This record gives sequence, C-alpha cells and structure tokens, in this order.
Amino acid sequence: MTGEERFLNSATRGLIKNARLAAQAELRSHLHERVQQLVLAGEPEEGARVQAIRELGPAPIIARSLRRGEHVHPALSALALTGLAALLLLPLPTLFSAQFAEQWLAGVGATTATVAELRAYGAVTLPEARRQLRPLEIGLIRKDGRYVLTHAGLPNAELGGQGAGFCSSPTYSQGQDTPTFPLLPLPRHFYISMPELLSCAAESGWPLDI
Amino acid sequence: MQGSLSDGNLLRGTLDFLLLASLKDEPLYGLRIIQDVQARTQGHFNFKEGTLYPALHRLEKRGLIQAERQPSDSGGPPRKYYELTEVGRTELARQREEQRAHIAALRPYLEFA
Repeated sequence: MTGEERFLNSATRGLIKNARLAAQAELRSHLHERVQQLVLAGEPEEGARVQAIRELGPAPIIARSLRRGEHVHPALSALALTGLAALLLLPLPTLFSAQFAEQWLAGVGATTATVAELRAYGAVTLPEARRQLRPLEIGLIRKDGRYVLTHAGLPNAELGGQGAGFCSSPTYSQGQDTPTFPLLPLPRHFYISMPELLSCAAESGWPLDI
Repeated sequence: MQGSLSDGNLLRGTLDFLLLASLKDEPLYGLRIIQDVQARTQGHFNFKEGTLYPALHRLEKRGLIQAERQPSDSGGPPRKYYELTEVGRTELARQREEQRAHIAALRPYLEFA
C-alpha cells in the first residue's frame, strides 16, 4: 500500500462504505491534480506527493470532520443505539425536573440551527466566550435570570435586552447534534457570537477601542 | 481555514459564504475552489483542504450546492464539480446582505478607533 493510499484510508476512517469510497475518490483526485501542479512548477514528483498530502492536513482531523456530516460505520451506529436503548430504559421522567429546566433555560433563546451551523457562523460556548473576555477583565454572568457583561466602573451590559439591535441573548441549538446532560434532555451549552457581545457593550455605552 | 486575522471565530463564520460565493459564476472542483478563494482574496483566506471537503459535503446535504463527476482534462481520476442550486443562490444573496450589515455595524468602531 502506498503512502497516499494509507493517507486516504486514514482520512476516511469510520465512514460507511459508499460515503468512504466517494470521499476517497474526491481526495485522490485532489492529490493527483495538486501533484501535477507542483510538478509543473518544478517540484520533484516525490516531493510534490509529500507536499500535496501535507497541504490536506492531518488525516485524523479530516476523518473526524467528514464523519460529522456523514453516517458513521454500522458498528459505531450499533454501539450508539445500544447506549441509547440503555438510556431509554432508565426512569428519565422521574429524574427530569421541570423547575430545574426553567431555571437553566432562563435568559437564553433557542434556534433550529444545528451546533455545526452555529459553529460555522462563529458562535462560541459561554465558557469559551468567558475565556476570551477574561484578559479584558470583562465578566459574563447570569444575574436575575439575564446574562450580562460586567466590567469594573461600567454599567452592566445586558444581552438581548429590550430594544437591542445586534445584541442577542445566548442561544441553544435544537438540532440533533446538541450535547445534553446525562439523563436530562437539556442542552448542555449555550452559544453566543463575539461580535454580538461587542454590540451589547456598545449599546450599553461602553467605550470601545478596537 | 487560515487567514491573516487571528480571530478564528470570525474566520469560521465566513467559510460558508466564501464557498458559496466562489461557485457563483461557474462550477468548480475542490482544488480550484481553494485557489479561487486564495486568488480573489489575495491570499487573505487560505483553506486547509481538510476543512474544505467536509464543509462542501455539509452544504451539499443542505441542498445549497450539488455535485457532478466529470472526466479530468489532465488524465487523472474524475473530478467532482460543485455548483450552486437555486436554494444556494438565494442563501448566497442572504449571506451577502448579512455580511454587508455586519461590516456596516462595525464600521463606526473601526473608523474612530
């Protein structure tokens, strides 16, 4: 097996047969075209092959990205179904607390966009947003059922307050790929767009210097 | 996708828009899309190819683009050409307006910083 074939196998691992063959054919075509370009530009063929594969990026990352959008191998599906069946056998209704759900979802919106789509549009989870805001000494907290930005000496900037233009409250995905708590059908993560946080701060009169 | 900006979140948000926009005029295959975006943005946006194909497949599943295999004129394996669907053209127009609104909203802060 050539290095290229090993790469293609690794980059498509976990996909079901037809999807895997199609993805391999597309990547194989890409490598062929790119190698030809590099050779025409004066690169030795062996070096061109190595460079073309390197440009495609790490095979496990490609495989993971491709699996997100495709059906996975039946063995993995069976494993997931077994896990799901085990979960369904548990007395979920008794564990689910409507009151907790109400508190957990206070101050957030919902969207039909999937997590992948939210991510593609640049949304980040609240912990990720807090990590980015921490060096700026800006807090992102929930207060009285609302999410607000805080900074010493400045008024709190409410997210998604009345009259807000580009400033939205955090949102959770109703898509099938949204992570939930074990035993609780509640979204684990809420998402926010960093540019929107900028708008929230601006709308609350914060002096901004970009 | 890489770019000269350091904020990965902003860059990720433009991925779908760039892919749809690159297919506006004619069907293209993966490598040509990468090179088209690099050329038209003067190298500002540089896809990692491992990002490109999953994103193309996702857009295809959403019905925004469709793919067709065609023989390669370089004698290699068949190429998979992607083209916009009507739904994709509508989505491109929507995203273009969204990008314009986003830039317009940020402009005051950028100009007076």
